Amino acid sequence: MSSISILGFALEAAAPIKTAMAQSIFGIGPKTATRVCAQCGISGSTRVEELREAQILELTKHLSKMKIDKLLKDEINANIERQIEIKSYHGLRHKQGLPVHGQKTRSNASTAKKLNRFPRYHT
Amino acid sequence: MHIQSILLKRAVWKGPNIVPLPIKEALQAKKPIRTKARSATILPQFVGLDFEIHNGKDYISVRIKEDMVGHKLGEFSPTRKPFKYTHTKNK
Repeated sequence: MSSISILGFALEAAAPIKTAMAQSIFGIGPKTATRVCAQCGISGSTRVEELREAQILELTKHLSKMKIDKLLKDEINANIERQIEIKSYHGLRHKQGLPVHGQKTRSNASTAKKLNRFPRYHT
Repeated sequence: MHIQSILLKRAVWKGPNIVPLPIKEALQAKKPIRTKARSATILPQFVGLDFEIHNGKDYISVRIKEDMVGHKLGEFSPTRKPFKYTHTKNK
């Protein structure tokens, strides 16, 4: 499976640009991908390998302005760190790796144990 | 913080939950404010003041920092004791 790199993200060459972006860029889902395509004037169903040079330039220009990947992860980390720093209930729960929004912890809570730790994302 | 997440918490027309607290006296006497109003929103005027917030059992002292503005007082006095495993003495 070959991939084409746009702004450092490896997008799958054979996939439609909309799906490829949604799959491989953190912070872009199907909905945002559709919007980005529309704003750049590209059909979402164009395959990544079939994109013209100008279209790729337009996409890169657009994506570089957006808060995605590292910038977004940093922001999420900073938000959690602030909560831990001021020692709010929110922050305490993050520190303990337990659910934040009052869910039960007698059983389950496995998603929280997996995700709620600091730093949440390593960038 | 997201603007949306603030807006979704409470109707805008209500404004923040303002509870009358003796701020002026506390500033003059430099004494902590003892309160049970856990639902009171922290206002910018509170920054630097000491509070003693009830958690259902006793009062927990908290100094208000700038980052805490917009949160509720109750967020800073946990109501549950963390679980600790202890060996029972009487067997």
